[in-house]
Amino acid sequence: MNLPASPAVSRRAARGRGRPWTPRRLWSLLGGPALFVVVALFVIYGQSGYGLYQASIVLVYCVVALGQEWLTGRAGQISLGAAAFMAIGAFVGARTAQQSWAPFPLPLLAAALAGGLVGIVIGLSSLRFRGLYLALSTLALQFFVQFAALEYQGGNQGGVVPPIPKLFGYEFSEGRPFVILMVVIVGLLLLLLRGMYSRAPGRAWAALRQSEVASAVSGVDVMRWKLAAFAGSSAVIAVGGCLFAYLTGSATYQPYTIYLTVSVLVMVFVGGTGSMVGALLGAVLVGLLPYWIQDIGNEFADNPSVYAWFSVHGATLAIAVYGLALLLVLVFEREGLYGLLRRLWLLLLRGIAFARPQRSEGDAA
Amino acid sequence: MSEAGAGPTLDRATGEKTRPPLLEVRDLSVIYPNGARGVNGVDLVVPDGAIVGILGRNGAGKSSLLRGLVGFLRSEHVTVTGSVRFRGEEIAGGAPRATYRRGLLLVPEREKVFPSLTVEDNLRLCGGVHPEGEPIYEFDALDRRRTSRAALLSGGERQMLALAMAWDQNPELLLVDELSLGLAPVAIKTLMEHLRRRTDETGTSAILVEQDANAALKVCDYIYVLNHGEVTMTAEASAVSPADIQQKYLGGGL
Repeated sequence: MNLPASPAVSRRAARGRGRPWTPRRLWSLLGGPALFVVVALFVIYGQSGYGLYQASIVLVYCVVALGQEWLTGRAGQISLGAAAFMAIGAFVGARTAQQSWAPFPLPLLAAALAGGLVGIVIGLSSLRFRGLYLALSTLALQFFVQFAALEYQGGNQGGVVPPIPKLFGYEFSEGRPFVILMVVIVGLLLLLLRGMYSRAPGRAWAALRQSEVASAVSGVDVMRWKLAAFAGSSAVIAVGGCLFAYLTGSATYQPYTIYLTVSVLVMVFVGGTGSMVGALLGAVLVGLLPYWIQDIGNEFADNPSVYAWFSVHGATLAIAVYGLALLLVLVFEREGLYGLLRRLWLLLLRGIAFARPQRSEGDAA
Repeated sequence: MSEAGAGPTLDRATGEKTRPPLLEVRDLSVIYPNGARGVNGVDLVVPDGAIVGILGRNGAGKSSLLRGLVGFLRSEHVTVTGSVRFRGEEIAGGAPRATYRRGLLLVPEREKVFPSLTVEDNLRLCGGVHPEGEPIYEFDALDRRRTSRAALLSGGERQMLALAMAWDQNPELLLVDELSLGLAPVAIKTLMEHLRRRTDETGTSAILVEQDANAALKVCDYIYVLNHGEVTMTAEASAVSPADIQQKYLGGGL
């Protein structure tokens, strides 16, 4: 059915342009970016050495978590393919980076392209399968990619080593330069995603997540938007994988196991589905938890048996904590850390201004 | 965009009886995987601009008929046989997307609005732009609640929103599943009157699946009564009384 063209003026008015610049509107538009810049500056200049390395890991996880949140949180599609898409991005990106014709941002684009293409293929299966069956079909990808990566790497223990990323003669070597690069990438990604989620694509994915039947009778092209979500999300996750290869200095098959996939899902669900802030919080939690556990172990430096236990079982303990956190979220706080923080924030606001009416909805975050 | 002045209404007025009816269904059956027939050999005609009511009890096959027409049963391993002609063209077996493109629009019984989106965003999703402060297709209530999430709407408001979303897409044939379900009599009256007015103004046709014979007879032009998947009565709505239908064909109450 044909939709008659509407006057551009009314469309713009309805989208909110020309509305007065109230403090609340300014806050909802600029509050997030301002907070991001402040935190980023604090990390870049307040941290050094090991702290910067941890920050790099967290920021790479942020990219991956945002990618997974796109698919799972926005479009409501289940996928257990995160580690596989990261591996694809890592190998394709690192291999491209070795070529003389591919200066720095190009390997990232190559990774995105490869991830996006495989994402579309997996997305096609989402048109036939739903829920558990879809999850299984993405799991198949995991094992296939793991096998392919192992075969590709062969006897080469060092993996595919990409050169240090370099832009206009500036080297983003490990430490502060790499963190700056990651902050810029995550910042751009956040702006891009926010722009998308608050416009027609965001509405289409929200519709898709809630009901495919209702989407179809509301004129949402179910196939197109599903594939778009799979392609976009996989591309972002693959870029995250490529950045991971840059950070660790090589692309090898070892890190991209099913545990990594689970960690990524934990980021999204424990952080809070349906919110980008939640994904970022989840990435921070999952990125730093192993170090926190290590710190606890270090407290027992004078007790050799406890210290040894922590150094042997630290990684397993982290996974156990992820599992526990996931259970707690599912039972008590579906909106995860983000939902928890938002509730505390609202309580705080109510505490400050007792008589002020509570805002109920429409938070742009 | 709200007024659907452009489009099919103009040529509809001229063509009348020489053209085929808008929708012509012949011998339609819906057969479920276990062999049960939800709909059994139904013939149905929807003339241009008319509202056709389909009455029947729970399980009479009303919803199966609607879903079969727009192709929603195809993906559920349900067999739909028979002929469905829309403007003279065969559309039986089409996917939901294909029938949607032709202008058949289903308003399902459940899952018709998106709870997490605001009223405004629900409408925008369907391509509708409505200036602030003006009723949305006569519905003042919707204008007042445009920034509320649809989850917070009352049943009546939700139905209004569903209709507004449908109008935003300029359908040629609207298929409404249980407009009156769970609503107060006043709300039913408002919605039914709205539907009649709006279809008359735009020349849209509608199929109305209903259990409420009283409400249906007031707005419909033609009535089909469905029982155990078969049409047991066809009539012009003006020629029958609600009591007749209730007594003879629906067996009095439920």
